[in-house]
Amino acid sequence: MNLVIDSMCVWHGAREAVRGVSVGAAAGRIVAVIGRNGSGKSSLVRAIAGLHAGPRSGAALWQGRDLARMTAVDRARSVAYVAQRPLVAADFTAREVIALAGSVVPRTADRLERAIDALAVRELVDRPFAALSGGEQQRVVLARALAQHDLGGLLVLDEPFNAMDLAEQHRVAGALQCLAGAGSLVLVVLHDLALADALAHDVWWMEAGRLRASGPRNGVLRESDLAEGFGVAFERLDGTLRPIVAPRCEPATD
Amino acid sequence: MTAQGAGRVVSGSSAPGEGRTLSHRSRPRVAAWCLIVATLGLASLLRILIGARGWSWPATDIMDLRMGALVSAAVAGASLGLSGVLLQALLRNPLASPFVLGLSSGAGLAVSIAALVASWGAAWVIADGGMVAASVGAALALVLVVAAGRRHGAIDPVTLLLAGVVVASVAGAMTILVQYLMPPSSRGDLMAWAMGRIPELPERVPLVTGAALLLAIGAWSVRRARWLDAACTADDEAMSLGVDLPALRWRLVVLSGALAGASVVLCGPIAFVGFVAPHVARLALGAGHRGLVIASPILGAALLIGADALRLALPLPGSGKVPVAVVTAILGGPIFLWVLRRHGGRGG
Repeated sequence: MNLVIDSMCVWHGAREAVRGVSVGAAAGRIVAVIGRNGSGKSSLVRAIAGLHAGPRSGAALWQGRDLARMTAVDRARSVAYVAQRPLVAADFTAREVIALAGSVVPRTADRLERAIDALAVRELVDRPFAALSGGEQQRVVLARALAQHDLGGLLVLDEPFNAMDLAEQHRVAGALQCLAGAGSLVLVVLHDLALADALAHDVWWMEAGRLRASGPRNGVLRESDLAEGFGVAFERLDGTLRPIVAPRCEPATD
Repeated sequence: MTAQGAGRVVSGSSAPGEGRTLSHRSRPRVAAWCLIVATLGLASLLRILIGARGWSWPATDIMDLRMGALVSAAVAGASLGLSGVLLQALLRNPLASPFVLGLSSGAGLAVSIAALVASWGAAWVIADGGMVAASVGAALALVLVVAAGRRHGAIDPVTLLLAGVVVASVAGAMTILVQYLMPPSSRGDLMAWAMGRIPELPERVPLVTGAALLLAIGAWSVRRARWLDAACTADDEAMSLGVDLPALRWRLVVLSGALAGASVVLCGPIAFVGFVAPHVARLALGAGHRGLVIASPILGAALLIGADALRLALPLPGSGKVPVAVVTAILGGPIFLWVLRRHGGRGG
């Protein structure tokens, strides 16, 4: 295992957001972190990325090194991270936001250009970041993370698809699959279980701060378990290119 | 889901130094830089040509006085401009400045107290021109603001800003109180300084110390400009980009405080220069700090020199001249309100 989480606990003040999570993942995989709101998904991935400033215990070892004990610069060489709600408090253009990838750790212009092409944001790069739509901003911030990311490294994304339309989701998912195929480990928090089922190799299911289940997606995303865990009926849709789970809805009536 | 359309693998292996490093989008910068430098040149020329009795090319002895005022205003204005841009980066807030955060007022109160003690016979207290007192005052104001502005052990930008407003108000009121306690004979000088006064015969120690601080902190700021860019993102993202954010914030607080203290010793508390200079620089050059940390001090110097010239040129009844801080406040206030309306007090 390239990433080993050992008895990770995370506190926000007096509240224990993550309670003794132990799990691992190998490079070359996409791991979807799922769970209901407040289940500790974001707290877990922030702590793994070494970004939780408050109290915590346990360790997240990447290639045998504890990410929280690395210097900020060393950590930036190993892990790229995209927050749930990106903030850019300056009148930067989209290109300037992507160029932040090299603000501390040197990154070449070629990497910037490759990231721009991979996320198809070239037509956006000269526009003010603040003037972009939510989905466009997410793609720009992802391009920044991709420009920072070294192949074979760890990419941590907290709900990156939230504001994206289907075409944007498809393109970003494809880019993540390329990265995993080239040896990177992609840890992605997702609410959309169908997307998790289609995109991820493995799934970590968080519930009330604990890891309810983890492993290959087929073993974790079982309809009966999902129905019990999320309180919504699910069914596996066959006859598609790849069976996926989806919430079962009653058809709308005229 | 397939990888079709996503193109090729997007990142290469780590290769520091390979090829060109990333840089900001090129802008029509040459014209902007020419304009910025020309502004400083024009303000300086006006200040040399204007005196208390009107426009004239000065004789040698008068030239010395005008150059003294010019250099004092340049060092103080540049310090305020750099302090402002560092504080705005620290707080991710375009409204931040050393005056708003109470650093100028804290330094001003300390110098006033030192002057009061000196009036009781302990003249050695201000033998250095008040440099030590101002530094202590700015540092104490800083400690107070930071202590009140911390949450969970880290500096919280919004809380820090509010704490600064309170400290500035209290320190300003206490400065007025100290002035009332002064003997009438020495009250005039202190009140003139407290309202902002550009000295024509600056004391050597504060001037040289202020200039040295400005150069040292300016060099550090240029070196760390890209860190300041990254600090404009969310805390998590800035740290994930490689910025040691807690350490950077402490350094910004200390360095911006030192610059504010130096400017107060030279010219008294002066409002809005530290706020306006970074904004004008941003309009000319964009938001990247590599340009801002150089242009803001230049424009801060130009603003304060220009305000001093304008103060002398204002046709007022009698021979009285308004304090320079009055001019900067009247000019800067509307710009502050414009920015407040544009940004609503938030970052960006």
